[in-house]
Amino acid sequence: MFFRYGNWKNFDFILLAVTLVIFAIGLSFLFSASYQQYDAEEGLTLHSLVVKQIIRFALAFFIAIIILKVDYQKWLELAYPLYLLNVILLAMVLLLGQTRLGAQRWISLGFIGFQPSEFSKLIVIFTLARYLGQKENALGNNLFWRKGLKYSKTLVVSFLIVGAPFILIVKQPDLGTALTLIPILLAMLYVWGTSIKTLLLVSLPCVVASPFLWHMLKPYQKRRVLVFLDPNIDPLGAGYTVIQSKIAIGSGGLLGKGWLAGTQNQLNFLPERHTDFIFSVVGEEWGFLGAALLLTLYMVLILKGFSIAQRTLNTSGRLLACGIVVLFAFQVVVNIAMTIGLVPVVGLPLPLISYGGSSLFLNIASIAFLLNVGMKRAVF
Amino acid sequence: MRIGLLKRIFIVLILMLFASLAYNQLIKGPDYLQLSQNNRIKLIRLDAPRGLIYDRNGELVAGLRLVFNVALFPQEVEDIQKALQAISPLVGLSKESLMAQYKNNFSAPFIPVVIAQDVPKETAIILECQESNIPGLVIQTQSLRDYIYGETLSHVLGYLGKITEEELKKFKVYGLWDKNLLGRSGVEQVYDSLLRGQVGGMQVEVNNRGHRVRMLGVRYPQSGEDLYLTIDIHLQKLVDELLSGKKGVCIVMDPQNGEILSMVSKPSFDPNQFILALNGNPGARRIIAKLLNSQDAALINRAISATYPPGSIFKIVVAACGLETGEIDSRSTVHCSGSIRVGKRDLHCWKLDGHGDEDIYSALGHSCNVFFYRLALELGPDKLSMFAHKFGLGSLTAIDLPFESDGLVPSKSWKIKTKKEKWYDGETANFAIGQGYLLTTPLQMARLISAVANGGYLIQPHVVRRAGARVTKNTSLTMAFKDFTWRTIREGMRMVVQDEEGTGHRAYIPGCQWAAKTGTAQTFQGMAHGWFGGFYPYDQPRIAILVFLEHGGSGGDAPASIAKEVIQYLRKNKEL
Repeated sequence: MFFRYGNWKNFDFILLAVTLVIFAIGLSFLFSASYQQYDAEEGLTLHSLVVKQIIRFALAFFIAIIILKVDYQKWLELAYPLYLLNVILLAMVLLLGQTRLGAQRWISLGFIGFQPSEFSKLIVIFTLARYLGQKENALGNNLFWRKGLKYSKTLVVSFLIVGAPFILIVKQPDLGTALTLIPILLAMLYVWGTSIKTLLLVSLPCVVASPFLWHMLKPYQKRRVLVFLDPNIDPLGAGYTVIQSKIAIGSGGLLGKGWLAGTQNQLNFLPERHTDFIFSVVGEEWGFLGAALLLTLYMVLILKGFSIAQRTLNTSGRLLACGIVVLFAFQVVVNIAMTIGLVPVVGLPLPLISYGGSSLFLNIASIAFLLNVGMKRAVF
Repeated sequence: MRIGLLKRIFIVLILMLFASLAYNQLIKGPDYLQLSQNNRIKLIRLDAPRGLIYDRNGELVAGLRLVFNVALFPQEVEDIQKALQAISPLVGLSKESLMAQYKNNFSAPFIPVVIAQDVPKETAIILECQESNIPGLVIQTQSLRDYIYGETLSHVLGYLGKITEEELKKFKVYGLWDKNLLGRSGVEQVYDSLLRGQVGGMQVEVNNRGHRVRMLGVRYPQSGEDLYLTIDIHLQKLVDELLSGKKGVCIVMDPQNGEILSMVSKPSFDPNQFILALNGNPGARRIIAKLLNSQDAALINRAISATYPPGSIFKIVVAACGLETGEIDSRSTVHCSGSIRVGKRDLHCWKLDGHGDEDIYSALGHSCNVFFYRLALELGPDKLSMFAHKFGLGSLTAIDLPFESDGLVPSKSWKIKTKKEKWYDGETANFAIGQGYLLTTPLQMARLISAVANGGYLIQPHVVRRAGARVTKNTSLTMAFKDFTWRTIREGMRMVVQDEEGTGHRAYIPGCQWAAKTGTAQTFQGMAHGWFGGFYPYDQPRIAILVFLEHGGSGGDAPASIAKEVIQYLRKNKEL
């Protein structure tokens, strides 16, 4: 009934099941992370945290069904207006957004607040998928100048599509989210057919500009990068989170300290443990086996996503699926790498698990679109 | 295909995460586990109450005093300024000084911080009632050492001091920490390891702010062992009064087993002041500073740490040497004309017109110098030196008190070695009357008197009878002299007191027989040092007494009087 338009046979049940399992595991660790209510002043209670997340999931699930009911090609048609709306919202955040945790990322809609930057990720993917899908495929054209002005114009527009929200998000400042847009852009251009040579050539100015970018960073961002290089320069300040996160994960050992029994987590040594650092709780309480299980589930989800993209012949659909998978995989990899201290601390949540409404809606919606693309492929 | 490359890139990235997780959790896991334990488990020390000290009759001489301290429990303090504002008028200290104390003593949020020590009981009760109004306020009790008799027993008991950096390193294995006090002198020092007991501790789990979450385990402290002294505190008090205002020593001991019944060294000090000073009492600090800078050296136990020439008491050694080597017997006499020529100099007897014919008894009784000059010159310095050593001079008595000196017994070879000079006969004569190079501690002389009294046993003096379950053993060395030697010396010493011509006749007590030897040692400046060493009663002696007064004049005067009073007291009160 719901899936009237597409092919029921092509619906990827495994992908859906893995998504639900990851979310369920996530809930149990959200429960654990908020089990001890030390943060009295932050008002985080067991009740509000887990229950809120479940309510959000139910809402997101409903949205997912709506997404699945309509052909993704129709959704793609909404890309440009949504893009415009999003850029306007991002600008509004800068002008009148709420400041939380030292950055203006939130916009208040009466009773709920949400982060437009979170949705920028998906909207940029949609816009690029629609834009590039309409252009002539660039496959086989290694040097763009042979194709002339038309081809280079496509590249420039793609960069502009990403550039506008990128700058607005960096300004908030939310470096993590902004940086997510770069692999999405590069991956989608690559899949569209741009050669690696061209991509490198185009990226070159950015690499050259990076020392100047360093000066544009906020002091706390600079500190994070420096602390990443050596967390011990500031063990009680910026390095604290990374050090405590590494201790939490490492001390989990093979089997972990047991659910609700992680001392780093339960005794509040781990900051941000219900949001960006929730993977540390998994690593501490379930040990290597639990962390590896979760990582395996993510890998299954990502591989399933890529195979949907590979089997989709429509360029826009293919680009859409690719963008979504890259977005999802990038967040997973960077978030986990951050908790083990492999990359600097950037504010990226762990998809489907970290507490937070915008992120959850985004990820459920992304997966719904992915399933949507997957269902549609046999039509062609 | 192009998507295949993307796929492979992410597979590689995820595999790298797997590898990193395996490295951190499996290989480095134990290290991180240790770090997480260090994070959460903290130790709070619980001090053990120090052992009590009793005198020989079971009277408490060093106890514990319960004091009330005002403390703040940092993890429960809501508003430090408000709390201090409320406490300040009650304890009579300014808010600023309380804040300074708080900052100074703060160690961790889960350990209460003492901000005012030793407040009166009434204040403590008032504050206790306020505990619910002032969050974080805690009234703590603490037991402090209390020396009940103050100055009277200070040199035997010693005092307590803060642990030093080196000691902290040494004692860390016993769980001591920088707030612990250690015995600094007296039995407090020697028996410190028994008295201080075993420190306990509480393992608590703390959260990221260091707040106590729950207790994991507790080991209760074990209070220290009690000490039972050989000292009789009432006798000690009497002796202390007799010596008040003087500089000197009085030792009363049991010559049979070495138990010290009383040991007074003057000037003395009040060990309570050290405790008060450590608690920041300014008055006590001034007193301690004065003690440390004074010329009187009140902190020194003169009975064991200071050495003096023993004067004529040493004639006992010369007499024993003469009798044992057969140089003289009971019939040998020497004519004392008041002086004797040694080398190119005339050496005088203290009685310038001479004692006439003296045998060993009267020579001891009258302390005739000429007799002993003659005898010593016959014997030679090395024999004297050997016998001095037999009497335990020049070596430690091994009493259970710290900082004992061993004194000095000269000999020919000693002089060549240290002074690069040969020995002169005049020095032998000086040696015979306990002057010159010879140096002894009052305790060595008290033991010497005891040896005469008990018939030749060099006993080990001690001030602790029982420490916890450990009873002090009485140990002694036999000197293996002839019985006759001892009888002769004792008879000579009896004459000192009993004979009207005796140098110590001032100590004569009608209706009782006892014996002594006086000594008067010339000093380079000021009055001579006065010595008086005796035993009581004459038959089967049970008391040996030694009085020494620094620059106290003739031994037969003030020292003899003090000894007499002590013996009279003992006769009256102890049924001797």
